[in-house]
Amino acid sequence: MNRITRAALAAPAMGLVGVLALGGPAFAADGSVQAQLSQLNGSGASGTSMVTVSGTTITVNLAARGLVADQPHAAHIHFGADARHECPTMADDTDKNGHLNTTEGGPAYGPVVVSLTKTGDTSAKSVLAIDRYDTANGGKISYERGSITVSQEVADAISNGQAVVVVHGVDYNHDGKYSGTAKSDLDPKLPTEATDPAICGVLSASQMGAMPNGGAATGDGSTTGIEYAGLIAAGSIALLTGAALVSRRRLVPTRR
Amino acid sequence: MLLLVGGGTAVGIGLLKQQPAPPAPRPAGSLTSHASSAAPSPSGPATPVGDKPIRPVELQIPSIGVRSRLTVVGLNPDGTLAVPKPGKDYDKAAWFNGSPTPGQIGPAVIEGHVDGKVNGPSVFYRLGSLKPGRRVDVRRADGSQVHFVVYAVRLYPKNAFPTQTVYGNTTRPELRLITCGGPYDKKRQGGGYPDNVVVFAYRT
Repeated sequence: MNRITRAALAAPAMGLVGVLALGGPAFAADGSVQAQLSQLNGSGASGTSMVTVSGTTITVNLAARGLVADQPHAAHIHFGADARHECPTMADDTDKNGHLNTTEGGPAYGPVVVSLTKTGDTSAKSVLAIDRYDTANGGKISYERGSITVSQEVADAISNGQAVVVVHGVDYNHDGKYSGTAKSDLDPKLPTEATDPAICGVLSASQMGAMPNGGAATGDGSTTGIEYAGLIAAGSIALLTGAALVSRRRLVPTRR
Repeated sequence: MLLLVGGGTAVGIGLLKQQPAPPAPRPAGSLTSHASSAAPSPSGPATPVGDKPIRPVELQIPSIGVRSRLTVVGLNPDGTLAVPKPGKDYDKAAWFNGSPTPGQIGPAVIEGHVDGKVNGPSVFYRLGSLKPGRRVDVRRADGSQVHFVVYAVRLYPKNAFPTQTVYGNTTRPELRLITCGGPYDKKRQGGGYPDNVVVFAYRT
């Protein structure tokens, strides 16, 4: 990978570090955290995620676009007590091959603590249960799953802005599928394209003290449609009647 | 003849007093309610310096003739955004007390009715015609003013409201102005307007 591409990759990751620095004071409590997901490995993808914490139960929303279309994308929440609680940068590319694989991201985001599967187990055991993750129809994913149970430590880490959402699956050779001779660092039966991170974002506390459910009911429609229907109708009848009388009068003189 | 004059006058008054439907965001072509679900891309200089919370007291949008004392709203028990109730505050704009105060980093939310039974057009009747680049000013309880500039005006369907786009974290002090919009249908459940007009602005 050339230098320009490396710089382009590092920029969004550094932006995330900036966002982190602006975050408010850490707190551990029920509430919601959110992340803007930025591209890694030049994936061109992006997304948002929101996690609501209630005790040791979490609800996860994840929306992404620009992913490798019609391919499954493993997605996880990562946390490690000794991790940096960040998304990796090219400085984490320890083998200097120009790509960040999942293992190289470890010092930044830590190990998998939640597998964002559609069904069944959500623990780290399902990290590579590719058949239970969302497939990106048209490159898009829209994921929501509630009632996910986590440990108290993980719940606190999420509330404290220390957890990181990562979606995996890239297409370096642009053939529209997971391929290539480079094998995954997680499973040698898979190409590295299937497991390298595509988008990443740190879950940080919402700036909203309370998140409204949807938009606002701000109108009653009183300025739409016809407001003075009665007046207009009565006037119109009078107008027509008057017009008819006038034309009758006019008819009379012409006969003379 | 009397009928002609009287009837004409009645029709004239009826038509003159007829209030047109509230304006939709323009340019309309690219902003239909279904084509605009993408997040607007913020532009302009970043000013990532936030103030301490100071309660907002007045909103001014000179280009559409809005000047309103601000009332305060919270959430309804079902988690939806409360709106100013019928009465003296109905036609005032309202700051949502679960959002940052204008001038703090984050999306400060101010909403207002588009219309109402008593007075017809309400405080945000013309919000949909607001243009990017226009000024929005908020006066605060300590007398200070915060100046914002509009960078996007969007129409979103209420049943697919992009919560993260509108209420998600920002890296600078921003403002969201929200009212109702879209074709009115009195049979529609939960209010006759299917859409929300959302104005995005950042602090200058």
